[in-house]
Amino acid sequence: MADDAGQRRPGPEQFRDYLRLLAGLQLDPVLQGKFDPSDVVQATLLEAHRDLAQFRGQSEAEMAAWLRGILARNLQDAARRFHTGARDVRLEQTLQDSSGQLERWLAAPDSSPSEHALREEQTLRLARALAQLPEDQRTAVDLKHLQDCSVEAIARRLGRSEASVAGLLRRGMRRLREILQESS
Amino acid sequence: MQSPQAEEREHRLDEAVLAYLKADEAGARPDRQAWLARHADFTADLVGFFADEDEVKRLTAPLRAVTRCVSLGGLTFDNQGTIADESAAAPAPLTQSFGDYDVLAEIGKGGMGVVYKAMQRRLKRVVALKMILGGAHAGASDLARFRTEAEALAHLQHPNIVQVYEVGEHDGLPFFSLEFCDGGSLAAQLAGTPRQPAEAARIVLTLAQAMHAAHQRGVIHRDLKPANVLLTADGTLKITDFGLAKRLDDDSGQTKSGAILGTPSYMAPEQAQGRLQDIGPATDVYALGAILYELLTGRPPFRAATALDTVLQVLSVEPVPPTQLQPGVPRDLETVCLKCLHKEPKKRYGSALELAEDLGRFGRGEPVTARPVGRLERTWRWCRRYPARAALLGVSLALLFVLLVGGFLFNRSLHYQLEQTERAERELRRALARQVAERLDRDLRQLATVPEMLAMTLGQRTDWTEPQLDAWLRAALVREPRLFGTTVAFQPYEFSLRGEKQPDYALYVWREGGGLTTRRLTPKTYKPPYWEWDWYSKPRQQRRALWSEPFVDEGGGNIAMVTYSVPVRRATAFTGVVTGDLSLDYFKQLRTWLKELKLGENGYGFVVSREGVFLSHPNPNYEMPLKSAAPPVKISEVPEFQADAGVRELTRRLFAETAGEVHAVDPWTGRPSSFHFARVPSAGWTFVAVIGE
Repeated sequence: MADDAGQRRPGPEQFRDYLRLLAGLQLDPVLQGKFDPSDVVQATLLEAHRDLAQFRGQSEAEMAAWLRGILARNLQDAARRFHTGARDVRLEQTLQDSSGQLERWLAAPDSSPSEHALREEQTLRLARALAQLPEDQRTAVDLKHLQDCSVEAIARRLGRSEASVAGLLRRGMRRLREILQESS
Repeated sequence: MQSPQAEEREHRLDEAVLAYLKADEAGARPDRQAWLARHADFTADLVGFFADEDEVKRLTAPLRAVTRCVSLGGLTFDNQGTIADESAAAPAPLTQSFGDYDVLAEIGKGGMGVVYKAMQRRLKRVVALKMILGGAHAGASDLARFRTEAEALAHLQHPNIVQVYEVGEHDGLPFFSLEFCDGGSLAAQLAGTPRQPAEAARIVLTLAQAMHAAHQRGVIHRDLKPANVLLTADGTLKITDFGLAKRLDDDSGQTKSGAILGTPSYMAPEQAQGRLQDIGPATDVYALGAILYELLTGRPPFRAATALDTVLQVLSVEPVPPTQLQPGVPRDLETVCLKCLHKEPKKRYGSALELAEDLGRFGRGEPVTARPVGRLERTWRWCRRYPARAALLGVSLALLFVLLVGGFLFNRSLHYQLEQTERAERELRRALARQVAERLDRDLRQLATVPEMLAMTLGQRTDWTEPQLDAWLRAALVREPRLFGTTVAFQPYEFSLRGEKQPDYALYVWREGGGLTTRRLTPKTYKPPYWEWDWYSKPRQQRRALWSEPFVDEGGGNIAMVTYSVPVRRATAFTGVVTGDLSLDYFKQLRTWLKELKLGENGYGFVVSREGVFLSHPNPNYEMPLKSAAPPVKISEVPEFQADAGVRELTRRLFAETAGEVHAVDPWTGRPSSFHFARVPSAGWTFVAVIGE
């Protein structure tokens, strides 16, 4: 029993990759240059760490939900700070919408629970696997498959030739699958 | 290193992949077979690439759907429709009849199948017709799962399992016809209201007997839940939806990857964790226990806001005993139920038959074989379920426990909770130091690219003119506003001014009064001459780019700075240096940024250079930029430091290790603190987070 318990109750830190992936997805490309999702995640984890004593939850489940709540709030704060100058209502609305969209997706009531569990589990695994890729490969895979960028756009962003981006994608996807297979 | 041939081959492969990706992006839906044929020498690589691409696309599809919507931002464009189109396209608007069947109505849609009510003409009977969803989009794994279900069911004949009549194919897509149940599902009937205990026991007894029959034929259901229990008009129970069923004797199963399939509220822990080797009859026994639990209490044992949270509960939380939710539940029935829900498969009933037998005993008023969990185990489980309450209770009871019982279990639990919290904190702080160091490193690398590109360009030609150089340096500063200045300095006679080779030549551009100022650094005005400064001589000696130690540039206006110097090479000869300088603004920003890190009430952060010079520190006596020509302060020269052994240990380790932590009394605050440090690899700086304990 003791061993059983020893595996549970991870620190907030163990959700970093997951939070980073969620944060990255929530940012409108217009906002992406303005603040770094890693910073929002860092702030979230610091806040979680600071308030850990007040966390009344009893399970990992509650910790995950708790962290997601903090993340969503921090993203909105960040967006608000960004809009302190010329207010751009439409942009702010976009951010609101996108966090809502993500929440809805996470708890999509229309999908069957088994699809739902599968989807969440995959996201968690994907986030952890992506985080293990070398940086350039990760950026290429992320831009191509999560942000829907063209090879040309990725090449410009990374300052590399298109052929080398193709190479990054090829090796990155291969490595990603290896990591996923190792972890399963 | 790769051989040139291998490198050449990789390059050609990447070109082939690029061409494919481009065609794909253009929407051309390239024909993969043709593509493979065209690149016969890369067959294995390309097949691998296609497989990788499919898998990554599959994994990212739901996330991509979210992003796509987000990136269109606010334009009231909803992707719900698109998703539905892609994943749920029903088989070509089903013809009203085919083969022997007349389709009457659509009954429901599942994860991958659609079910119609249909009339089988020849036998004049109503059947349920299950077809695979997705038409041409149906993936191989869907087809495999669909066939699994058909095969699993075809093996089974039991009054409480839905009967398969026919397995066939229509338009190349498999379908099967099933016994039609028009009484709805158990889930619909339940709708949150508990049943009488005796009735609940009867229902699960029937289901357990049916599942035992399935297990005897080697079939595990793996997705038992009230929604998969149908009722006929006369109230007979029928288990259905064997879509996830696994044949015990078949280990080519399509769920080899360990992907979680099933419904989390009724899912056994071994299934939630994807421990495929542990999935067996006990997995279904768990689900039967979960159904019993819901029948008794009106809710499944675990249900959280999201599926992920539910899964986490399944793994780590003990179910609330049914009697606590429904006081009328007989103790024996609760014991049976909780035995099914044990996290350890081995501690559940050995088979569905054993469960059925115990439920039979309960029905006849005999004692059941299941034993309630012992007091010790219950205490232990209670502590795990309510760590906060356990800790509170501990304040009053711990002494008693320790004295009377030895308090072994309880103490261990409390201790464990504390240890976990502390460990989490330490982990986070250590991670924080590393994160900050990484962030600084990223910054510095970005800053470094500007002088690097200038040096590369300058190395390619010899005929630069002074106005050209000036314009280039200015453009570099405009491009990278965090740089304070930039210099280009040449070896003797490597630069010509109006056709005349110069014995010395250095041009410096920096920010001043909101604009940019240019000045030539001559040995007369800039002393000592530039070639005697570390920023010029070190990269020349070491033949590599490097970050300088902090220095005060007296010749350049008494400004404290740190400089990144890149050697300019023509062919391989060293011909000069290009610098990027960090000063005032950068260090001001750094200080603000470190302040904004939430390091706790008494926490703060500082940065030292390779040699231990303070680059940033909340105490104005130590930090860069230094106000005047006062020498930069080294950490080892601060007198307070010599006094404390712990801090001396820190100073030693800061230079010896790339990351670590030291506990010592902070000489500035007098508080016992932990110092977490991490190296910034590119510049050799070290970030230290100091956290009061």
